[in-house]
Amino acid sequence: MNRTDYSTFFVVMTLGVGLALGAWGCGSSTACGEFPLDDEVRQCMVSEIEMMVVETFPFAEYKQVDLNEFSRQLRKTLEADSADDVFVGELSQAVSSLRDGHTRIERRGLQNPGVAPVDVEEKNGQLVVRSSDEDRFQKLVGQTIVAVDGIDADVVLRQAGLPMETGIEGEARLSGLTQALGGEEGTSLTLTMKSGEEVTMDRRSFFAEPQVTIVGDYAYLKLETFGFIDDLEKIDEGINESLDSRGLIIDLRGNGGGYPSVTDGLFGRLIEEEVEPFKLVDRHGELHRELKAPSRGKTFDGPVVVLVDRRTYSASNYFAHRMIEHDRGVLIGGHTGGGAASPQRGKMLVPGVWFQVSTHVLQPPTGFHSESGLKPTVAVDPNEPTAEDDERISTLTATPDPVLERALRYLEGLR
Amino acid sequence: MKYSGLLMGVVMIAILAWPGVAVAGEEVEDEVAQEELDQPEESDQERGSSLLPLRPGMALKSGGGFYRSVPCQCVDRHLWTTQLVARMHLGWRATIEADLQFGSMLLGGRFPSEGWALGGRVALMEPQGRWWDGLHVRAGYRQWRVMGMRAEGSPGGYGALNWELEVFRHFYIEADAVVGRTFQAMQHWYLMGTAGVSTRF
Repeated sequence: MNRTDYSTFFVVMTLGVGLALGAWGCGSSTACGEFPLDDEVRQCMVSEIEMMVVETFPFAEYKQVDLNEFSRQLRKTLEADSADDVFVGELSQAVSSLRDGHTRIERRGLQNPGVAPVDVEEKNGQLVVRSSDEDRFQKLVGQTIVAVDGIDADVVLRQAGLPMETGIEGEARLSGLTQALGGEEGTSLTLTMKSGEEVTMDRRSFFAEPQVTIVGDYAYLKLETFGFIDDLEKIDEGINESLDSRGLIIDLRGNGGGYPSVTDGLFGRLIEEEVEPFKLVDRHGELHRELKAPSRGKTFDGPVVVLVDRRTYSASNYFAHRMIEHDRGVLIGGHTGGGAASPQRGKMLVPGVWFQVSTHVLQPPTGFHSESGLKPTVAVDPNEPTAEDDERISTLTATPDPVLERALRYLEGLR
Repeated sequence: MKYSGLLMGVVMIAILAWPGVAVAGEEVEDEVAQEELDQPEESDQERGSSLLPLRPGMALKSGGGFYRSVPCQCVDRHLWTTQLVARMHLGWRATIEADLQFGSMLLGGRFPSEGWALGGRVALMEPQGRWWDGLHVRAGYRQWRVMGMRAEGSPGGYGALNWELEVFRHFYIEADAVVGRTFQAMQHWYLMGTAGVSTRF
């Protein structure tokens, strides 16, 4: 081969690599096929889920789950000739019998997931407004909703059982009634109240950015998600603003998790020296990798309080676990939601329907994993009356917040 | 990634549509056999403007480096990259380049990244057959995105010291030391080294 041949060969190889990468980038495929879901596609979906769970699910013994019974329940979904959305819902129900929030079916349909500006709950079989952080909707708190966009509240309550919506990028966490009222950001929804009043509101982005507020001597960092890697820079800016504060409150209530890299990045701003790593192990106890949280940047060295509740899950739960494992702070609020698994295996079964399974468990350096959640250091009932009017609370939230109030008192030396 | 096929297609069309290149390749092969008997071989650089003033070329480079977060003011992660570069050489002195970048950011876990850049390269000295003749400076604009970002991507700029050496006709090895700055989401400085191969016609 002469030199011109070498050049030609190189060009052809590069073109080949480029075109191959282009084809790979352009292509997209699902594991089982497309909608509508015929018998073959449904069979494939059931088989894929069963195979992935049987091969890797790490909590069968811990959660006392009979995998044979699970398989039976899964295959039962093939017996009824139900509509496609009902079938997917039934699959989701079967998967939920594993009682693992990380092993789940997700719907990935929304381009820009949006949520209603009110928080709703089911009370005695009725749909009720629980809270809102917007002043104009405070009048609705405690009121019963009879319809949403003309859809009867009973139907909306059933829609809460649909699989979690995570958006097409898989980064959102819209579940339960949040998911039932969710939709594309910027679209509107109309609530028909029991009083007959109709209230129209716009959905706002699910993806609230990290927010830091300096309240007197203390800094308050509200983190609704750890689901975005570029939020670490915003968190760093928030910590930078907090460096002169006497104490730091990190609010993880409602934070459903995200990237451990972001939580470890935040933790790294709170320590000066290296701490022992957590470990990701498979169901046989074999080490997959270590999760280290090295010190980074300027350290916030004051006391830290982490606000938690039942919805503090997955990576947020991991951050809370690190805080108490390394004695760096206290947890105030309610029992966390747990979620110590890492789902590193997933497939798009059909367009917009994703299934993932927990493959590894997060083990702390000492003690047991926190799959079932963590008890708070200071338990506070979110419904208890607040002791006093505190201007600092009203700066941060429109509604009374006994958990935040207790956190401020803790930092001031009261327990 | 989906644009790499397009980029390669454009380069392929440019090369194939350049009639002088395809024909000259065959002619040069015959001429080389005769000329080798007569005189020492000239490199592309030595021949310089005796070739077409505009010459397409390509490069494939890979490397890694460090990420220094601006808000944290700390080096807390590593970067890896592979670059497919399309070039248009303007004589021996200047080059316009466009490239696609694929790589990853290591922060605890591995986060795939992608991006593109548009820039230029200027030779620091006229080629005279010395090994350091291949020194250039490069600069340009870059758009970069990593998996898991809230934002669509981050704009930035870069500057580099580039060195190339023709190992045989049309075929070069290259190395770069690059400094760059990314703005808006994920503000950071980066320092990277890359090496690879390139060709031109």
